[in-house]
Amino acid sequence: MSLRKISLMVLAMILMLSVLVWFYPSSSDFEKENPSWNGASDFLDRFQATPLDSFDLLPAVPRETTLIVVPYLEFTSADLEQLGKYVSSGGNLVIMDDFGCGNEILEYLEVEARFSGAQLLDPLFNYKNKNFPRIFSFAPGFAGGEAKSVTFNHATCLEGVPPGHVAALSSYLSFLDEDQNGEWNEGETKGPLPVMAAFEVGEGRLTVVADPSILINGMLDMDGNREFLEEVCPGQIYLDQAHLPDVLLDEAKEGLRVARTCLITIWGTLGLIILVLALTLKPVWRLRPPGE
Amino acid sequence: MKKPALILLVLAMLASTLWGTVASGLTQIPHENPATAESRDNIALLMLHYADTFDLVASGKYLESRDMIEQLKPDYAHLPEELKFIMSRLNDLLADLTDGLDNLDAVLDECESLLSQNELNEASWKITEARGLSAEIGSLVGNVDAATDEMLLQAAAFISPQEAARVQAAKARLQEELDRLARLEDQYRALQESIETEAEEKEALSVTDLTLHVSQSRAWVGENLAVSGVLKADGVPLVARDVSLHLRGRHVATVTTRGDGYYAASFALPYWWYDIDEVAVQTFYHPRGEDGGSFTAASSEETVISVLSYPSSLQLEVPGEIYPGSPVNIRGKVNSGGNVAGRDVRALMEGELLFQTFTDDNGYFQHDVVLGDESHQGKHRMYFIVAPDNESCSAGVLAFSSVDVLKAKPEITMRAPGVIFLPRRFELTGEVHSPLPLHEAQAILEVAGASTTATLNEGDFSMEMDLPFSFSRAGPEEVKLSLVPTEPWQLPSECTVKIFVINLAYLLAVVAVLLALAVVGLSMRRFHGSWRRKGELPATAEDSREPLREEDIWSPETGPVVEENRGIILKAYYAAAAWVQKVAGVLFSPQMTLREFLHQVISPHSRFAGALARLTGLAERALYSRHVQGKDEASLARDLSAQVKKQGRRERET
Repeated sequence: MSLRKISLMVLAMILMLSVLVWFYPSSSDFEKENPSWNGASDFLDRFQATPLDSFDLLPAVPRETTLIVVPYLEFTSADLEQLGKYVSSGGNLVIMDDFGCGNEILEYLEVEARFSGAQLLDPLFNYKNKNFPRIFSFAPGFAGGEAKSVTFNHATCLEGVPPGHVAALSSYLSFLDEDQNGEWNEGETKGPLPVMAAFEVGEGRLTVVADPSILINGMLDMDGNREFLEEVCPGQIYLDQAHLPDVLLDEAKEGLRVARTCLITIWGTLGLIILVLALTLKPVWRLRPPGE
Repeated sequence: MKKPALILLVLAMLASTLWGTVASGLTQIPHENPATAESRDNIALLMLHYADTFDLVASGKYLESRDMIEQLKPDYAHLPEELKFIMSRLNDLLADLTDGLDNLDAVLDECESLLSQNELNEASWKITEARGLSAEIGSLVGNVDAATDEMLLQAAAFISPQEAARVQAAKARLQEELDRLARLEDQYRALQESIETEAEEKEALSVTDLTLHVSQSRAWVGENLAVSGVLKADGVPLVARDVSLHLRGRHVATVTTRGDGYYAASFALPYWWYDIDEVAVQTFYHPRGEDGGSFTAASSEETVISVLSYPSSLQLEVPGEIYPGSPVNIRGKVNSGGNVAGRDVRALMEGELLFQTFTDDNGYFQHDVVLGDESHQGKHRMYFIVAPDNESCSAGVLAFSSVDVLKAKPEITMRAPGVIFLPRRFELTGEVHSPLPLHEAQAILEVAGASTTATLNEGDFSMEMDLPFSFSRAGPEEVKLSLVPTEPWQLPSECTVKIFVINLAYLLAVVAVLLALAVVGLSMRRFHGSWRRKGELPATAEDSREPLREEDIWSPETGPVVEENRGIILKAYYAAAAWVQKVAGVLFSPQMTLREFLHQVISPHSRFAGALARLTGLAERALYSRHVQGKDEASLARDLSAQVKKQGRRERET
């Protein structure tokens, strides 16, 4: 088999893989285009929410809008500044985190609450097993009283929340699995533990929730999760996508997107046209009648 | 394995490995698919929980036990439905038992307190109440016991072998706590009996009597009232004893009896304005010190006094809709039979003071209110409080009015050309309308990532934007105009229109490519044509094509032969054609004419050309001509066929 044929096969393989990568749905957690259980496509559809790849795209007038942040990647100082500006100018910021970088934001906003970082387990009040604790104790008036209960998925709890700011508590049978053995041991913190908190920051409002998974496709319709989100997310909703960890598929998709972006510019398209012309005209260029 | 297949296999494996790695979607976020999560009950924990609750009840910690029962919500527990039902019933019984025990505890405390004050009448009523409660508790303890048994019975079906040991331990603890509950019931019964014995002992005390006289049956708020009466025991006045005066059950004063057992006092009727038309006055005597062993307690009859005051009312004029930042006038009038001038009026919204003002001589007030930018849209209640005026005995009043806090959304109409050829200056016109004043709003015009800003007022507007050559290739684009008003009563607004963009440079480039392709096609055709005419085509890839398989070679039947020579010619031709197909790898398809087959063969295989061309001529004549073939032609055909085979064989060898 000639080198030319092998090259053609490799090229075909690359093209086939590119097509697969382009059309295969994303599998990233909380990702806007991921239709499987861990994606956020249903949330975006039903809440008419806008996915945000950069805080630069936040509205200049943040009143009557809600920004949901799932902070799994570290925030730059510019990001933190933009978040601070958003909430202090009247925006409604909802931080949903369990084991990510949410404490960076809370520290920057000078809010006392912190995410514990240890897993909250509830052996009795749960959906299926203790990793899915059910929350049914809400502060009066919080979340409009519409949501009767919210189900978490591998959540944590909040620490250092001033009493007046606690918005929801876990059950008294819940506990923090600090040694990660799945059982309660002497010395481990027992419930009820704060899992949601609300603060006024500047002219805006900050809601802290100890689990981001309530908005994924597989959890959205569970118990009162949807009603709860409707209550705490008024106005136009923005879902931050810039601080989520990428899987290889997304990186490959991003690479293809960059290539596409380059090609759809005028110069990129012209370059492609010239390349096609050169390849097309090559046989003519090389052909010589036998006499010559 | 052949080399091409091996290469293909390696490439396929490489591709699938790459794809597997890319599509695996490994994630570091700790959560799991709820649909596939494993389901696990926790029966032992449920029993331990009830044991803890029984423990609290048995320890007399009724408040904590009530909290615990309230938190145990069967609907949210991950348990079988049968257990949830029993759990719900057991919770109700436990709540009733806790309430009953709490009440019994309180009633018995009260009995003890009444007996210590020698209030025998009251004490006897309470003792009867305690007897009833005690019987009820006995029944409740029995029901809790039965419900717990039922729960254990139902739970047995759901206990896994791994959980059995834990459940047994929990059951033992539960039983222990149930026994404690039964002992608690006995303790209360013993206490009740000891109280009854004490009450019987106190029946030998001297019975006291207390009278009360109030100077008026009606009084204005703030007015002074005089009260008097006599305290006696078995008809003998009791001297220098303390009598306490109560208004609406509240202690207001203590007076001491004189030599004849008489007591007297005066007090100002408090400024009780709201929902109080009458007040009850009563006096009490509680024996203290040595009196405790001699006299019973006494209370006078209740005397009711009508309370007089001037009621007030408030008429309000509040606009139903308020726009933040836009001033609104709120006015009202205070009406009262007493004083209406200089009355203190306060207005509140969302718990915050909006304004404070005072009424004029006729009771009117008004105030201009401007709601801040931060006011939330929607329905709000505005509360108005008019303070009471003590001097004129005029009561206060509380009223509210519902207001709708609104923001206006400007309406934008845009006009843009449907098709735009780039590069050019793009012009957008339109109108902005709002029900409220709109000045110097910031307008942001965005088209495919490019943007420009301008300041707009209400009415017609026109905006321009340069769309350069590099703006877009071609296709539909969305033009978005966002309006950010400066006034707090306005909401941001936006409007979009679609335009179709055609980039002239891009169009020219596409035309150039098409032209180039056409030129290449024509050139290639001409190039091949000139060589074909010369019959000197250079060796091409077709020369090295693979020989055809035997089954692919088409060789038609000659059919019944009318003339012998004709048959010989056709057989010779088909034999040669079959040979040529095999050697040259050119397929003689059934729909092909003999001449077309010849053309297919002669260009890459010139050696066949002469003999095959002549043989084709003979075969065509044999097939389509009326001419009768002679022996010489048949012989020539045979020779030509042999020549073709010979040349073909030679070619194959080389």
